[in-house]
Amino acid sequence: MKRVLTWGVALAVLCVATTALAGGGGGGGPAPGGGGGAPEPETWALMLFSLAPGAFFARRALRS
Amino acid sequence: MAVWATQVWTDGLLGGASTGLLMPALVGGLLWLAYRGVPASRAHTQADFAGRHPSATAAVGWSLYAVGATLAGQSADAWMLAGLGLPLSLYAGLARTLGPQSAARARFPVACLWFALPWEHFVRDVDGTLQRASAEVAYYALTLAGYSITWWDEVTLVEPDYWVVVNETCSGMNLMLTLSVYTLVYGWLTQRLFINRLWLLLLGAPLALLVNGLRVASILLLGKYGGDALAQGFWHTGGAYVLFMPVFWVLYALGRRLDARATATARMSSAGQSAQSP
Repeated sequence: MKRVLTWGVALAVLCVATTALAGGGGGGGPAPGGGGGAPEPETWALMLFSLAPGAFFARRALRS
Repeated sequence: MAVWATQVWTDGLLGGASTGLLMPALVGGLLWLAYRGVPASRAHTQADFAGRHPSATAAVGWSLYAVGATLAGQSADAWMLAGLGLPLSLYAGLARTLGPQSAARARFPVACLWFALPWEHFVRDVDGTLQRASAEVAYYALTLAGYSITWWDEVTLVEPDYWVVVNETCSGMNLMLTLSVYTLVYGWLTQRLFINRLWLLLLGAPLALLVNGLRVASILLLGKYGGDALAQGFWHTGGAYVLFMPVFWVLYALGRRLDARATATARMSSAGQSAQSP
């Protein structure tokens, strides 16, 4: 289980780092200070990210 | 069918292809857990109607595939119907090879293969509703916090120093799909009762909308106080992961409470039966 958690955390960090590089764009808009969209992370990145807390909480729930 | 799915995934805005590729790997992991007896409920070890009648199940699965493939000549989207039949056929094959009892353990993992289908192609119309709902949540969160927010249009929030538009790629669909899969798998692993798993699943959609609304609000605040560089930098997507973390805890806490209640009810019921028996 330790190995699973370690891999999960490593993948989650990788996902955050990868998707953070693909941020959304700005451009002209209604406010003078600037602005832009708010694209959410890709589904695969969110799913991989949820592996680590999922494994952690499922393990805790099954033990109790 | 593969050509159609590839076309849909290539045209898709919501990353369906990656989910389609990821899901079989996840199903492999779930099968491993199922055959190790990890799920809390014993119900998944009991043979069901589909497993006891593999020929009928296979007939339904292959009929769906045949009808979908035939209709695909008129509309390519009918391949989705064909795709729905494939997990059924796979389950029938497992029941025939391993026996209904053993195949029952694979029931949930095999059913998860339905998530590999390109659903986002069919729920694209829902995006508009999700966009507006996420914008509303962000609006109320910011207004409650004392900020002066006005609407540019129904999905664009404007603050004097910064604005945010909730477009198709910000609708919360990815968060919702992820949380749906998460609550399904988490419920299957930890909950003894089907109704408790259903409660967790139903909670997934509102939680996803809440997280997405707060994410949009946080991006607007990042832009206001940190400028465009900060709002569009690391925290632009990183904020989603940070906001996602408490959701896992909420689901865990609720799941524990539901399971504790189910256990207490079962104990009371068995104590009552013991008292009645001579």
